Amino acid sequence: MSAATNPLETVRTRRIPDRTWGMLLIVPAVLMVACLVLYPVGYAVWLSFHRKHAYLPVETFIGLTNYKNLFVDPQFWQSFWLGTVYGFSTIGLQIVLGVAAALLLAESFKGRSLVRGIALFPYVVPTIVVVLIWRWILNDSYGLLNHILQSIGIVSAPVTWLGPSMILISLILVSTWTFFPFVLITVLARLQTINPELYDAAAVDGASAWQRFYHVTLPQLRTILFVVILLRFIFMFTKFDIVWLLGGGSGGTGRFIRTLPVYTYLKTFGQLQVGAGAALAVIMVLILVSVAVPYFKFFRPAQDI
Amino acid sequence: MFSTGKSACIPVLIAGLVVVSTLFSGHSSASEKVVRIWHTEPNHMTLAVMREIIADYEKLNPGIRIEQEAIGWSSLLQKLQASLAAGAPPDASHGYTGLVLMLSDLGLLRPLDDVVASIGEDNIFEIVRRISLDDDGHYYGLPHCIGADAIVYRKDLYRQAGLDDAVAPRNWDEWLVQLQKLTVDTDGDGTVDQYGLGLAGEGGFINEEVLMWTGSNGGRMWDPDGRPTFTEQPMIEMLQFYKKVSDCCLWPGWLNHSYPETFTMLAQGKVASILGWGRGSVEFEKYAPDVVANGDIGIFDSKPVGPSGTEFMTQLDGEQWMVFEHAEYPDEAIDFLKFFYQRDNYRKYAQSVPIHLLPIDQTMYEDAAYWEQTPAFDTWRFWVGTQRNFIAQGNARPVIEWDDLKIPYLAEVGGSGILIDMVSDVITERRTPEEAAEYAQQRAEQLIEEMGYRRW
Repeated sequence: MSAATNPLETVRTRRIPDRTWGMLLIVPAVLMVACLVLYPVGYAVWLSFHRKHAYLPVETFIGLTNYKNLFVDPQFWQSFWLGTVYGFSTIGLQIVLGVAAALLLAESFKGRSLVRGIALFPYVVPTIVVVLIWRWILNDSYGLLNHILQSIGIVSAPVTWLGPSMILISLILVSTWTFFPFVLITVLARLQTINPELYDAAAVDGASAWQRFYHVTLPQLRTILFVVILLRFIFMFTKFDIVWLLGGGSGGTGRFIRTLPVYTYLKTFGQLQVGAGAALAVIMVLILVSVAVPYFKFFRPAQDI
Repeated sequence: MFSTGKSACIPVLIAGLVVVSTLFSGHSSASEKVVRIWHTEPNHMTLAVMREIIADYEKLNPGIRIEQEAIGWSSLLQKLQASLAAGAPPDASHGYTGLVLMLSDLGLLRPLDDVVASIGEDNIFEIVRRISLDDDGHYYGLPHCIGADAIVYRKDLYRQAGLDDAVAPRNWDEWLVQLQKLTVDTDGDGTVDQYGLGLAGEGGFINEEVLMWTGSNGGRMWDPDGRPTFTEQPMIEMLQFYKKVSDCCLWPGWLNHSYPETFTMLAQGKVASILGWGRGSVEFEKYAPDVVANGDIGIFDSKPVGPSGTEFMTQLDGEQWMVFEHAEYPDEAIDFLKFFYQRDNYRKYAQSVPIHLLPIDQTMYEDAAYWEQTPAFDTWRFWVGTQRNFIAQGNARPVIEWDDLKIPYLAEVGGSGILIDMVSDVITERRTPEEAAEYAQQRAEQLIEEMGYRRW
């Protein structure tokens, strides 16, 4: 190969040094991160120290007042409590249901591919469609569920599944149904990579099905479950669409499932207090960080992930 | 090879930039003015009429293109916020009364006095003028059309309950008795399957009930200093009445019912009456054509008053056109609105929302052409007439007292959920009416203070 056609030679003779060229190549990515992530986050933090009306083109610096107001606001604490109940219960149910379904779908049976496809259905359907379907099923006036329950004589009068006393439970169940396939698919992927020899060895040692699950499967899943639980916690704690839509927006029974993201929306777009809304958003981030850091510290599996 | 790739990169990047900038520059040519208008009438009839009006306007005004965008209410408000924050509002948009007043106070709106003059100020309903005219003597908003909330009921169910199907309840006591009689177990299985009243629990509908019922009970929402008056007796009585109605005569899950759902329930006979607007006539034609054909959908010509009230109040629907001061083509937008309100164009528009919204121009009601060529009027003329009476008599209002329009935080308190929470607290027995009102008062005062508006 001649020097003129050798790529290495060409590199040596070009005018822009490698290091500079490399830096230039990452500039678009850095700019994108700065514009799409750092700027909005920084702006939200900046706004949280201001009194900023949604329509007014001016801001007034008020220091920590937005934060002080929130900490003495009973609605904030109520939303925090509802968000915590919603987040932890849906995560728990998603993990149990997702792992159980993954174990079932990891077995060989006729029509397994079809069942796997169907099991993923809730997760791929748009949230608005999910909520419309469930609002129809759970409706107390014409809902399918009440119709079935009344037909077979389990209840005599329609149950108000979306009423004040039931809506949180309905929300948790609908959310679990919608999001458990995420757990299913990630756990299933991991299950398929577990060395079958481990099970063979356990069987030779006389381990029961439960013992095989507890001593072989579960330790193998630990790494993936660590990540899945973290991701689900972040997703569920900041979940807005399904909560807002199932509760019918700001009215009616929505206040009984007014989690922090919904309260943030209400502050920003209902009360038009962008600064207070930004403070709520910042608090949510801090809550997530304050949970994620000890989670990493105490539960991170020994092996690298 | 590497070097060739790199040098090819730069022309490709430049070409990309050119393509992107071309794409973002829009489709308009340099000499064409694109006037953007946002409105809240996405139904296909109105869109078609708007397209027709726009085409006629563009023919008469070469070089101007009108771009209409029909957007749902909640999305519109968010889009407006974003566009104002970005300094790029549309040229004209719909907005509710509180928003118009707020934006005009901020100097963001351009007066529509020329548009009003083109219609003829005296031709416009007095109530419309009152909600649109600012303290400085200028009109910063003008409703595209207007409507009024009414009690919509099933005459056949009233007759079955032994009630006179033409006599409106005069007061809350009479109304409650009616609703109790209408709440029945029709098939004798021991379970109530028809309720006297259906209400929408979602969105701002509870806000509307609070306003209408407090107004019909001689109450007020604000004192002259702008301080909330939620703990006053008329408001407490309103909450007590709400609780009584909810306990006896409302479908148990009403707090989660949507507004369209109430129309379907009335059409199906699950409830005997609702509070509603004329757009719902379509639902009856769809779900209960036989009831409509028999003339069994009725509208009461008044609403009941509370124990402390003397005259009823109902909600006025009157989204207003606004033209933004800092938009790109505000003059052209105003010119287009003048064209929009021209008799022939405006008649076509009003006929596209025939039962729900009525023209703001009173003289239109004497115009035979307005009543012709709209089959919906044959069936629903009485609904239009009742709304017109509510508007002409001054019963339909967006606020209880006209001075309330000067309060700069109506939108914020209305959107805060405080009134909705107050009602649901009472309905679910989390608080007594007195406690719920007290708590709502505290929350509203706190919010007003946080916004820096507290004056008392």
